[in-house]
Amino acid sequence: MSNVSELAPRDIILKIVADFLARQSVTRTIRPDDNLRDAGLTSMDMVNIVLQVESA
Amino acid sequence: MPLDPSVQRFLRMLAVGGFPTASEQDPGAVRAAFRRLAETVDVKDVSVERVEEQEIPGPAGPVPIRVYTPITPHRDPTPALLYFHGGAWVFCDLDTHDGLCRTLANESGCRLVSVAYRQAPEHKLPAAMEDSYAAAEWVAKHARALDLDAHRLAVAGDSAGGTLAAVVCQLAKRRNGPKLALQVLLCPKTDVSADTASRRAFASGYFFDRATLAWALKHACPSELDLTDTRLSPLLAEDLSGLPPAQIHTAEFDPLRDEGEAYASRLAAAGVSVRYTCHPGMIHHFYGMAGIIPYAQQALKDVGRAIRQALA
Repeated sequence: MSNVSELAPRDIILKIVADFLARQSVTRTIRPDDNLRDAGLTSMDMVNIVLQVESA
Repeated sequence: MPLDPSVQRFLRMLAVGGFPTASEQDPGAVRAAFRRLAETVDVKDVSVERVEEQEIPGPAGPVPIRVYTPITPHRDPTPALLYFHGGAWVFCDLDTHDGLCRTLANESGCRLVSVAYRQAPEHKLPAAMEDSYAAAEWVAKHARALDLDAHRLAVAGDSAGGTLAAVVCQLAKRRNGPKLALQVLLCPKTDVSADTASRRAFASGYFFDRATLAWALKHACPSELDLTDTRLSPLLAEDLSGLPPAQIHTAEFDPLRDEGEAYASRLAAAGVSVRYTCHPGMIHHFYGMAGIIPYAQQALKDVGRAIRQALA
């Protein structure tokens, strides 16, 4: 498994989103052009994700 | 004063991608999303002496409560602070307000009783009000057994929970119920039917918006409940005299700011002792985001210390 610090920025974001969704029991492959509305993400979830991206 | 920089940052994150807001979702989705948000933005790692879960009798069955014993309480018997969380009577719970309650318990020196009143849409209003009132009655009645000072029982709440705290005070007066020593209202709704300048100025883009309030009322209010009912809109009660001393907090960029200020003014005009604070640069629910808004950390501590002083 890759360490986050070794990943490219795009892959870091994909991993954060995939991990976030997995915690919501949403198991699907996330691609860069996916519409995350379809995965049920909300504006409040975006706060969590942006904060995680900032701290990655 | 402009928006606080950390609040600006939060609002920008909230708007990233134009994802659905609360009013575009069902209650279950909003509850889950708010729980996830609270895990990030509520203040964390606040140690208290003890946390106990229990249930107390309510008008329609058991009401769960969580009791926080502060690290440095007032001398025995300890004053009690009954806390009603916000969430538009539809979302939030004991967990979303855990860090806030821990902070208030420690800073106030009170044993804090956080109440999981029934929520809509499963339980329409006024179920939340009746559970909250029942909790106040129960704590007052069992004060001695809980080693609490029945003469220093305060109520507090935020947003819709602030409404509950205000309504519990009004019901206690009307029903000759428990003697309450203090009411602490954080950004309360005091008139759900209001059309104030702050509601118009901050109708959208400031986290808690007009659409979310309308969504909440749609889910929470049965058709027969008038929005001017004083259990929903305590500001509209005719007589506010004889109510407990009040500490009322509003936020500068909150749609509910003006009705909170109006309640403070009406209480003062009725002869009630009032301490009113409008927090500059803040938005609704800032007190619940002390994990990412540094101002909120200090403000929450100050709220607790003011309670400690008032109950000394």
